[in-house]
Amino acid sequence: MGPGFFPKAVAGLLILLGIIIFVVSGRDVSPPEDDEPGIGLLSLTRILFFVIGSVVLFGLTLSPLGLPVATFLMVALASAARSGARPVPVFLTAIVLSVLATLLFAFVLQLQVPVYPELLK
Amino acid sequence: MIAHTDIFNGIVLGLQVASDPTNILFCLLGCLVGTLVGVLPGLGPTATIAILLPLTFGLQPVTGLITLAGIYYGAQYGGSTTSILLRLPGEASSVVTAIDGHAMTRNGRGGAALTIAALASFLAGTIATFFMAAFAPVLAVAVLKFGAPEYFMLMFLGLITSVVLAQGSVLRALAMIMLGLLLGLAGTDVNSGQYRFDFGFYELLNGVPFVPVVVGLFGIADILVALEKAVKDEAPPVLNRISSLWPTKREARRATPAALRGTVIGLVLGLLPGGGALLSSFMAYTAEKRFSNMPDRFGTGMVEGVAAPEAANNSGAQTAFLPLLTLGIPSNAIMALMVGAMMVHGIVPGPRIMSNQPALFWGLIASMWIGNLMLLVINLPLVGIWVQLLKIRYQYLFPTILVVSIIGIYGVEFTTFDVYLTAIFGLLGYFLYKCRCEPAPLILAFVLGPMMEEYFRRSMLVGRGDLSIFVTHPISLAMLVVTILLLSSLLFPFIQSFRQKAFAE
Repeated sequence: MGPGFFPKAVAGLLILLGIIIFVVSGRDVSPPEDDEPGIGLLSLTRILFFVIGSVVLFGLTLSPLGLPVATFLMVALASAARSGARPVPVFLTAIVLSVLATLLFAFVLQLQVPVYPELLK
Repeated sequence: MIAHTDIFNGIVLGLQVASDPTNILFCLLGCLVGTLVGVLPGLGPTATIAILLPLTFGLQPVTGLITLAGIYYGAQYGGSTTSILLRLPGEASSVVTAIDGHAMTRNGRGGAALTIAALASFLAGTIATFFMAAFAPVLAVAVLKFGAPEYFMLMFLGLITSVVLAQGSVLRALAMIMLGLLLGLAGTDVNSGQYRFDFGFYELLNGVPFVPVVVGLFGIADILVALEKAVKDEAPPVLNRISSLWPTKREARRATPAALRGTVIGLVLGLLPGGGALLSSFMAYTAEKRFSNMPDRFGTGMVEGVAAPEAANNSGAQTAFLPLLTLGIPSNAIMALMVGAMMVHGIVPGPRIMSNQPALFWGLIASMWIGNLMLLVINLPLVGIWVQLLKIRYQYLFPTILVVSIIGIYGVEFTTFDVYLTAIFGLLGYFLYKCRCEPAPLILAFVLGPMMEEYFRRSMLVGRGDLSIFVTHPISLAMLVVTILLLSSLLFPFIQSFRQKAFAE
């Protein structure tokens, strides 16, 4: 049976279930409550891109730019995802959170994260 | 067999461990965070436990588990507060409490409702603790008869039950289970050393890391969904005047048997795979209504409608730990997180836990009682504060959640790979939500997957490749039969309408 058996069996079941779900075409779930108007595609794309992008951005900038800057960028981008976000609250939130996060994680919890940007070293 | 002295010694040991100042402190912390999370709608105990999991790694294993457990049953207390006062259930398990609880508030009996909820929860918690202390050793002994086929069948039964008893489409939940299993299987195969599903990333050779998956699926996805819904921060509804905190004698006389009934329901349902606080509270409310001689008055402020579900969700939350502590098998997503926490500390959950780690086992059980006591004492005075907290705007809340989660995740393995993984699973979680697929079965299967495969392979070794081993072993056969019965019960209209009615909320 070997190391491939279990994954293959599970994958096969998943494919089977997928086909059944497709064939059932939505009759297995209760109808969605459609009382709120959906938001536009542009806003939705913005939310998805900005929030997920902010996490990726953090991953990219943590080593080169250090924890406070990376956190600032992450919070700024993520906050901007919200519809109706204004520049000043976004900026302030980002500053406050990056300072608090650095204090908490780097100093209080002594987490070994880079704090200072590479360029300054 | 298990002597009474063993249980007694265990309880004494447990109280010693639980009264350690560090453990008391972190128990308090967990309960407070739990209540906070329970009060705030949108942030659930599952996501919170996932997010705070990395932060507990520096603690002693017992302390870490005590904190996380405190978050779980603390959230039950918090959810009922807003449920009763503001008709805003902070937790899914408090939804039923809102029905009669808020009605009581409208009648001016809000304070009494809160007290009844708190006392019922405490009563349930106390009984549940004794139940666990007495029952766990019995279970541990019974489990010694389990071999590989029985373990595999039990996990299989657990997965199926959690799907059948839960809400939403069973088909999609089954698909989620399969997906979770596949994710769990990624990594290095134990028996042959072959790499599976590693996509060329060396970081995946040990399997897909647990925390990024959970935080992505629950935490990040929640944020995406909430932002899409463009949740408007409304000012919390005006708090009706609370005339007095204490229930009248008549109210107390009716509430007590209801609380006891609810406790029993929670004790049983919490044990079931897939069970826990949510299912218990729904069932308790339904049962009260069914067996009352005034069923029409439910919804107008019946104390039984508050006492029973509150007791049930508390005892259910606690007994949900039993399958984990005795068998090593998580029965719902939150327990799966506890498994993750244990494994990071190098503790393998299983029947050996009671003998190998008695301090951990008994300490956790004892601290649940202490936590219930803390919650009872703290919550009533702090009600005003909890309500004020609802005013925090989501625009400040969600970046905070993001920061704590992501930095916490980085702090586990210090690799940005985990951060990117979280982002990917966040996106996945959002799409699952859009496709009306529940992520909880996925997490459960993700944790159980490697174990299931190992027991399956062992069964095949013992049975020499013959699948019939699962039907020739009596216990395994029994579980298989129950699973098939459960699955086929879905075809009956009675069950279908029952599920729809129970989850129509």
